[in-house]
Amino acid sequence: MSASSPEAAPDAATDHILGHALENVLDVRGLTVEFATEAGWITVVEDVSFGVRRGETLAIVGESGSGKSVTSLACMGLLPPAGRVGPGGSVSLNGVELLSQRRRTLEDIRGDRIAMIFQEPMTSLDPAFRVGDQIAEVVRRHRRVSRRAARARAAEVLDLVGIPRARERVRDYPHEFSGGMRQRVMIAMALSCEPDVVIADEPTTALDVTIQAQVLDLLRSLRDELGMGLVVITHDLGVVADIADRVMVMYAGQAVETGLVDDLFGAPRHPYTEGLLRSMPTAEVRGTRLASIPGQPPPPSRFGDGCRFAPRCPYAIDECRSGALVLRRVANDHEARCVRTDEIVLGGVS
Amino acid sequence: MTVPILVLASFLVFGLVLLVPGDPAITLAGDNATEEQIQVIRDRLGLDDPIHVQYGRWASAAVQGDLGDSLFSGRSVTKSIGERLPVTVSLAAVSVLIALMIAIPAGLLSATRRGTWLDTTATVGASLGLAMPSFWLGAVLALIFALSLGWLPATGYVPLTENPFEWFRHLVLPGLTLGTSAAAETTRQLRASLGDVLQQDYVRTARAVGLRSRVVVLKHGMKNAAMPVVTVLGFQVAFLLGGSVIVEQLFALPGLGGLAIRAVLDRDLPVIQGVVLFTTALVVSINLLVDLMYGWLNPKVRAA
Repeated sequence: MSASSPEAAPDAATDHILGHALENVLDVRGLTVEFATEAGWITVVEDVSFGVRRGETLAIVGESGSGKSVTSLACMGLLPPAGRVGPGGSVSLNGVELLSQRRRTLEDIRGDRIAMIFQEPMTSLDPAFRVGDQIAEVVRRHRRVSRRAARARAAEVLDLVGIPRARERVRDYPHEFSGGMRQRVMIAMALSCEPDVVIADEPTTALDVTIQAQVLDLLRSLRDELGMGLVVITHDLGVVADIADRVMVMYAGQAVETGLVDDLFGAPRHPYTEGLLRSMPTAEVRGTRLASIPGQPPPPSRFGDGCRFAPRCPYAIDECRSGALVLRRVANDHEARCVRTDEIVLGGVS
Repeated sequence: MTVPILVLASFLVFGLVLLVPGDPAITLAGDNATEEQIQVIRDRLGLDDPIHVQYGRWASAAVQGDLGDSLFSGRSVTKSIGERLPVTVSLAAVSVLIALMIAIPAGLLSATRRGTWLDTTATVGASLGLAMPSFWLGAVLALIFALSLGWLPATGYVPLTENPFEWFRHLVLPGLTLGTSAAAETTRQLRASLGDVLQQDYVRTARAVGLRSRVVVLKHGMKNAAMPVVTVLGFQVAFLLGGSVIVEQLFALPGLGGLAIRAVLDRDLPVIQGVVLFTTALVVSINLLVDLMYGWLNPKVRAA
């Protein structure tokens, strides 16, 4: 990613993984997010860049606290009052810069061109209004349509996301739906204006395993049907394998590895990615103990210089701990932030 | 729930007869009454009957709207209450209106601008409003707005049907006096509950779909925050009916409060019973209204 690795040659291959800025429906460059603390502003997300094209799914993977949710909230302009986007970054949607927009313009874009699905389906719908009315409200907010047409659209999208008897269920309240059905309602609401990009923040984490697969299937088929770009934020590599075309692995507020799913799973180039893959249960290692990465990720106040993963990394040498590391190209469509990536051999999964 | 409460209240109200020291017949008969005269009064009032018979007689009449006659003036208690009720209800209504006119903007501002000087002002103001006793506040308000500035009348009452403008003018100062503590309590409640609601996931959802912040706060925020506020307001109205006794005296309003005080001083039992029973019924119906509001505000309550 050019913003973070100035010395990497901007050749055609790099361009491909970055996605040509014009092709990317959502294009994020050098995004930095800071939060106010008693000790002043601290950086929680540093110089993150990624892009997603129409019909494509990008997965952002990382542990809790790695900055993946904050990244998505920053793209939406929904950072909590204590947070702010640092200077120099860019978030553009269809070529329109979002970070410099006024609040009211951003409100016009949100829910219309870019939408978000949250992790907590049980609490993300307003309990005091009928689901049909909540969806119709979004439609009427962004489209000049009659009440009746908006209500018809609500029934239509509820049907689209596979809610049985959608025409009757528009009159129900959120508490009358199960968790999986509520997540479908959330998806319906996000899709009601056919946005160009949908960001799904842990969309299946709160759901039963059987429902998880259904919701992922639904997201995939809707992505293909509507030709939207999909960003899925998750800590679950199973979800990544299931739905994503490309992956960005985040650790301690930085992207540590990006690439196509098959490349990154088959031949990871960052020790953290290897650790994540080894801690994923697979059929081959059945009966043995799952590997885990010892230690904890550092809090934002102690990110420091050097590789942030070094304290937990089995391959770490002194060189890892000094100087800033860049994300550099290691193969076609593949980048890693590791000084030893060319000398160590990391194991993947097929 | 409403009916059992009213029955229980009627027991308590009637029980007053037993608690009052002395014999009402002796009081009524006057100082130099003979034993026969007292007995005549006893027979007339049925005071020698067993207590449950007396209760039955009183309660069955009360259900039909007959609360008996005043022991002194001989006037129908129902009629006296009927005459004075509009004054007290008007006062309560204006007080609630004023309370809401203060509490809603103040609560909204302090919840949406936490930690700013606006929030601090509203919070301090609410504490002051709670701390000021109504008899003092009423006197100060009358002194300033009626006596010094002469903007508003200090005493008296004009029926709504006669002159709506004058009706309101006469009720502003008493309403402000009575409504201040309700406003303070409601402000605090609204600040807390709206502040809490605005942290909820569904508010983030509402922002994420691009709803205007005004709509997010006023529609989604307020409807969800209203439930605890309505609860508090329900209590406040009951409290207000009690407080109106003092405020009515202060501003010379011919309401139920005056009737009650007179009756207590005179030991006019039927009137006391009538006023207490009637006020209970009023408070119970306000609670019923609050419960109905819950159903509208929170669909989950409807299902339960």
